[in-house]
Amino acid sequence: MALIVMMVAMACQASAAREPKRDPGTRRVRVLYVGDTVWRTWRDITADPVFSVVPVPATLGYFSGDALLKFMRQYIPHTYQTFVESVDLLVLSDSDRSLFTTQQESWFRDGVVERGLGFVMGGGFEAFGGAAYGRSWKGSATEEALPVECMSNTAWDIRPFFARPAEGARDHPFVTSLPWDGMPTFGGMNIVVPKQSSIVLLRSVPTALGDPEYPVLIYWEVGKGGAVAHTPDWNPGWGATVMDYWEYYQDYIVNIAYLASGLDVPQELQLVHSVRTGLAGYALQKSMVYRSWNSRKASAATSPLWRDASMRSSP
Amino acid sequence: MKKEADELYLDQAYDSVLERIAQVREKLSALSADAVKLKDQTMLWVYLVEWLAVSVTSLVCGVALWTLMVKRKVYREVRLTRLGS
Repeated sequence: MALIVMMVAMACQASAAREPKRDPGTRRVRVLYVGDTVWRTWRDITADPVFSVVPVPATLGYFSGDALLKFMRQYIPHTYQTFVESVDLLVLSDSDRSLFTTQQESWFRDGVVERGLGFVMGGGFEAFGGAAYGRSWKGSATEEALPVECMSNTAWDIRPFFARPAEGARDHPFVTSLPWDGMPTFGGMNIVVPKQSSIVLLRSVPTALGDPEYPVLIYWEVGKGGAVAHTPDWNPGWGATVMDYWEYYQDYIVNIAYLASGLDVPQELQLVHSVRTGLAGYALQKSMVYRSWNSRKASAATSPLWRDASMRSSP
Repeated sequence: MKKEADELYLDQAYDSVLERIAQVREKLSALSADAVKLKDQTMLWVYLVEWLAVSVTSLVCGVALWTLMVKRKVYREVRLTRLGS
């Protein structure tokens, strides 16, 4: 089965450019962000008007078992049809495999390959082969949609490194969209093996002599969809410095979402950065003005519920 | 206005988005200033009523205390007990 999927995927890859999957009504990309929702990463994606995000708390490291089961029951679509009709981009951010059923793992793969979903896996103790609390993603149906092979045990390296453009990818639109020189170090990463037809966009540059180099950001188009593997955690722990001290962190995260969704990654760095900063400032300002007298709406906007685009109110 | 900005963003008209967002934020700032002004006006009355309630209560208690305990206006001394007579 896996072989057939791979062959179909590679055949499709050679075909025409990918058509981004969006909500036909709102033109927005509907994101199901599953994993460590305690950090700002999903909010940074939400601040970009292209995306409409539903965050689902789902990491064993941050949430207790009963709560997790409830979140999964409530917020993960119950059928494959609902899943592919309501989600355009699936993000699994440091989320353990044991939280999902075998059927859901297959939905994730099929959604990408057959229905053109975007897919991002963000690193951490519970991603790729990082089975700190549960199970490695190795051997799962979901792994077939990833551009990398996962390892079978707790495969990570916690030595700090810089993420920099890989040779051969310097002209890729994602790589040219950001200034990499000022990006601080990550504190660790999952170890993976890129698949044959994937593109390694970023690789690690060790901070100490003799440390090994690893692939950091890997992309491929598979079937009708596309997938990105981000091997470091993009928020605390391993990504804390990047998240807190890099001016272009939001652009980095959002551009990864663009890449996985099949959207053109904007190249006008300073202009787009100013717009995104303005939008983030607006969101903060609005929450301060409105929250005091409209707490019900404010709490709805931050709760992990399916949100209709109409719930985005404007002054 | 924000919806307009969002639509413009989807069309990648980033310059126009910047303009719209600046306008929206200006309006939000004005709204914020109005809210603070309204809050100040409301709190003035709240504080005034509180101050009056505390002052009047103190005054009534003070007068009662002075009249009853210091001036002893309603104090009547017992001259004899039945046992003494």
